Amino acid sequence: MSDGRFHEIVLPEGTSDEVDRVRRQDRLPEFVGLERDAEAILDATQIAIIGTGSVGANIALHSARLQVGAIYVADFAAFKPASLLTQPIGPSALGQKKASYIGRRCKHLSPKTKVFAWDRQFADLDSLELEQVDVVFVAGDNLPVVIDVSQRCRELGKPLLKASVEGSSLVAQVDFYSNALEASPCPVCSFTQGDWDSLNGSVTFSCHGGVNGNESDPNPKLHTRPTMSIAPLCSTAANLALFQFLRDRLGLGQPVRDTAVEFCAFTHRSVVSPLKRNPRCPCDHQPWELKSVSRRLPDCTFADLGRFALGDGVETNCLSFECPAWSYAERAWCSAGHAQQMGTFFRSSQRLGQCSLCGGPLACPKVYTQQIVAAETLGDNLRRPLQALGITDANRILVRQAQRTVLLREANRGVEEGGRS
Amino acid sequence: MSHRIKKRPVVPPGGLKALETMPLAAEQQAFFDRITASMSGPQFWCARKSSEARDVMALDQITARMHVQYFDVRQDIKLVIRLETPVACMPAGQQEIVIREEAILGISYLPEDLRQPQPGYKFVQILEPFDVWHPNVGMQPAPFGQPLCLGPRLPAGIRLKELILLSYGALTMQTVQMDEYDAAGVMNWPAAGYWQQNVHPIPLSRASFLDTVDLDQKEHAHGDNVEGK
Repeated sequence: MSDGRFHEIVLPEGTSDEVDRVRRQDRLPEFVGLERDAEAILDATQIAIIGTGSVGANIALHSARLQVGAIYVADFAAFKPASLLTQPIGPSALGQKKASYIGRRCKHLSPKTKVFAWDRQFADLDSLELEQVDVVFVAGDNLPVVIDVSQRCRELGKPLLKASVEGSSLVAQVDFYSNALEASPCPVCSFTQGDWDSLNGSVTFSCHGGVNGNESDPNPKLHTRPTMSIAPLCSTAANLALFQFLRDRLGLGQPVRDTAVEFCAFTHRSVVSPLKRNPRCPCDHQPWELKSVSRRLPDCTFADLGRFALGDGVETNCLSFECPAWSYAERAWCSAGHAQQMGTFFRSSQRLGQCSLCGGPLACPKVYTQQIVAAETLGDNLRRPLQALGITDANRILVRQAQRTVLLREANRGVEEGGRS
Repeated sequence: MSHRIKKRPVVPPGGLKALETMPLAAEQQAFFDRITASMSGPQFWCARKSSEARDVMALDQITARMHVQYFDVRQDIKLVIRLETPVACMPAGQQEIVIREEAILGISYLPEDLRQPQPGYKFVQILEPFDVWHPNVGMQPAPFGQPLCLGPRLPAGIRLKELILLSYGALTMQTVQMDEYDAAGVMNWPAAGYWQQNVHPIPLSRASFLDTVDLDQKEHAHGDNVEGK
């Protein structure tokens, strides 16, 4: 689980023999206007649910009853006594990790569905773990996670359904983001000042990461107030989300992508409205293109990767490159102040060698490192293998040109057991 | 470090609030045009980098306290400034504080900083002087740069000019967090303990960022002539 990958939920042999014989088609209606093969579509559909609380858990369990192809659930929290008030669990669940618990229940309901769980912070989940899914649901009041999920879905071009409730007004809302184009909206597009204030007030950090020089360990503390709601409202939001999902996957009725549907239990009215792109949104709306490279990435040059990503005719001097977890240092200094040309990549915890003049350790202050490196900065290093530039271990590279971003990864990445290939 | 002092700048009537609308002088405009000519990245990021670059050059124009030494907005934002400010240092092997008169700060800003709150130590490193002795400055050996913590949390999309002002407030100890048992913690426990026992020099300066009183006194003390920029 420390490698940032979902872990598969597997039941012991013989625990589900009777359930195995249950067939979705015994209950699935012939929807009005259905022109697609619902059985085949649902069998092939893979969904991810980020946040398995009051709303997300219901989404997961209903998805299992639909016997979809695969369910991925993610949540870092564990059930507390107050969870009994709104979440579809019993007392035996208290203290257990939400994602794994709901994952096991999904697996019991639908043994033929592949189920995977992630019990840690969403930020620690490998960014390509959502590549296999067809649609992502996010359900929760954790704004930092909503933003993170939103950005990842945009990058991967994954449709995103965001389900939320407002308890005091008995409102359930589902926003469906297509993430198909640069002009498509995202959840952050509709953030109000209240949302930003809530976001900024929701987390504090200790000095732990700064003291240890390990910025990847900022140890954030969340201060979100629990969502004040009732169980039927949370179920309503989950059900609305699944209706939108089914209509989209099975082509039922009017298109639902890039719309918001809001139901109010005071008035029993639903309102459907379009979602619009906010030109001032601080998120990157450009979907990535994903390509696989048959060679080991450290054996390739940036020039090769640029041509592979964008075609042989590409002007490599206009490109920039990013290798996650690696930074580029043009120069480094020793404690005596001697500057030395480097032109090398390094990880944050790595030393850059020794000064040729005094033998002291070399380092490059963060302000002189680059995470995204322009081709003109690399210069002749464009034609040297990544390994020769210090990148000994990388399974993905981002290549950027103007408004295009291509994610290159090694071809053997993603060929997994079972339904994840 | 040299004691070059800028030509006395003119603060616009609106002060810092007028940064966005005040016209840039020829020198600052030329610098701004040069660094933004090679910007790249998504449109929202380029727009933000342009706005930040303009703010920083306007700040450079209206204050004698700050001098831009390096500014790179090609990909991420990388800024190095020289700040005229007292900085408390404890040179290696010594027991007494030495107050330096200026600091070189390195500020790094990435696109993800626009959409999520960040730890207070994320942005600013003190490149010089070395051996800064301050509860909210991490101990890193030279020349890595000592991280400066500006609070338990910095809001999403904080502006560069705010980081600069917060840095000045932190280094002059006009704002300082010395309680090592506070949930946010401190970056240097021994320094926190030292300053709790030696509060009398705090703050190191009461001058506001745009003030020139302390700069005038320094100029007088060193007998330097004012140079043109």
